[in-house]
Amino acid sequence: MSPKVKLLAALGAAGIGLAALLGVLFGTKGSVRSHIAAKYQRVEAESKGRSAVYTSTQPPGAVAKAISGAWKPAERINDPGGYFLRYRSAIVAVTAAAAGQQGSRIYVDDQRQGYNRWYPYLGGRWGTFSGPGETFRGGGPAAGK
Amino acid sequence: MTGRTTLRGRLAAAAAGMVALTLGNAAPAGALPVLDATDATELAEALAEATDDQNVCYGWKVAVYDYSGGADGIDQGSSLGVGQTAVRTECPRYVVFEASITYTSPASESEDSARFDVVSNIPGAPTAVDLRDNGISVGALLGAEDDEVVANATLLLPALMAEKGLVEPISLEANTEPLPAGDRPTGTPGSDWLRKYGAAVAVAALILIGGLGWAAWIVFREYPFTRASVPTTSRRKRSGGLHQ
Repeated sequence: MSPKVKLLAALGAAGIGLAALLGVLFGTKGSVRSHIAAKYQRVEAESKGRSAVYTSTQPPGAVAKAISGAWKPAERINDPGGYFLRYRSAIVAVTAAAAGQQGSRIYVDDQRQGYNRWYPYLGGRWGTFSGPGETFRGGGPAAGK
Repeated sequence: MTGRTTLRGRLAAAAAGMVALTLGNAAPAGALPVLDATDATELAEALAEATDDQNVCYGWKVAVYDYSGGADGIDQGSSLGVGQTAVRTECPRYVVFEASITYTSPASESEDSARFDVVSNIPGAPTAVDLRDNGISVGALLGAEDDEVVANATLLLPALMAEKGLVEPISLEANTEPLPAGDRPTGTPGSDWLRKYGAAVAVAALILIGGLGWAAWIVFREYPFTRASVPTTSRRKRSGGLHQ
């Protein structure tokens, strides 16, 4: 192979790399919030759009797996009552639907609102904790909201 | 904060990711106890609450074999308390996360190893496959956060039992009280975009850099930079003329 052909091949490879890099930088969009909004049914919205609640017909484990597969969380905490996924833009909690209902409820909050909402579960792990020392973990057989 | 990121943010995240990839992330070997006293107590309490709701005992048992100079032993606990096994007459139905971690000697050519499974006397109970499907991995057990892996795996069991229809599901209960003064979230996570697209950025950048490097090597090898040769006049014999 002549040097010119080799040079063309090398520049071609560099061009492919550049095209791929530009494609990723300019062509990717979306967020975990937009993903959840597109995939699941919203039932509540509050706090000027910083918080929302969605429902799914799938069990919590399948929902948590689907969300994690689409957008990998920075951290994850499992609990007998559900799953907590932490992102830069949101704290996502997935739990069983209310008693008598099938499927899941998905809570999407910003960092502060999510930490406040799930403080008994996240306290001391995703933030500071000076809460009560007695047993405070709630829940029960599908007793959630 | 919205999920949209600016191009500048993406470029900054990509640059940070390349630095992190270069520096690497070494995980130190673990030792007993896998869970410290506080975490073990909290885990046992959470399992006890699940048992109250579902009438199934849950537990964890991690055997550690440390040939790097640390102590061998077993770290276990259950709904009945820290250090208590769930496999006992008080628990007619039980589901236990079991793991084995081996740390080899620094002089050994063998790598550290780990394995895990779910032990239960309930037909249809969750298995190791269910745990892997939910992010539990052998690699994570060998990392620096092995305690979180053990806790997450064990706390996964009640939810998995409910999803298999073997017990009633437990749901989370939201906090309705204001946070104590001063409590707040800490440790802001890294870029969600980089976590999702970081591998693609790295591969594309490697191809780009590799192509440019190859091109540069070809240019310098095939077309080396040398000093321009100085033209010389050849001395020719002259016919005739003066000869001394």
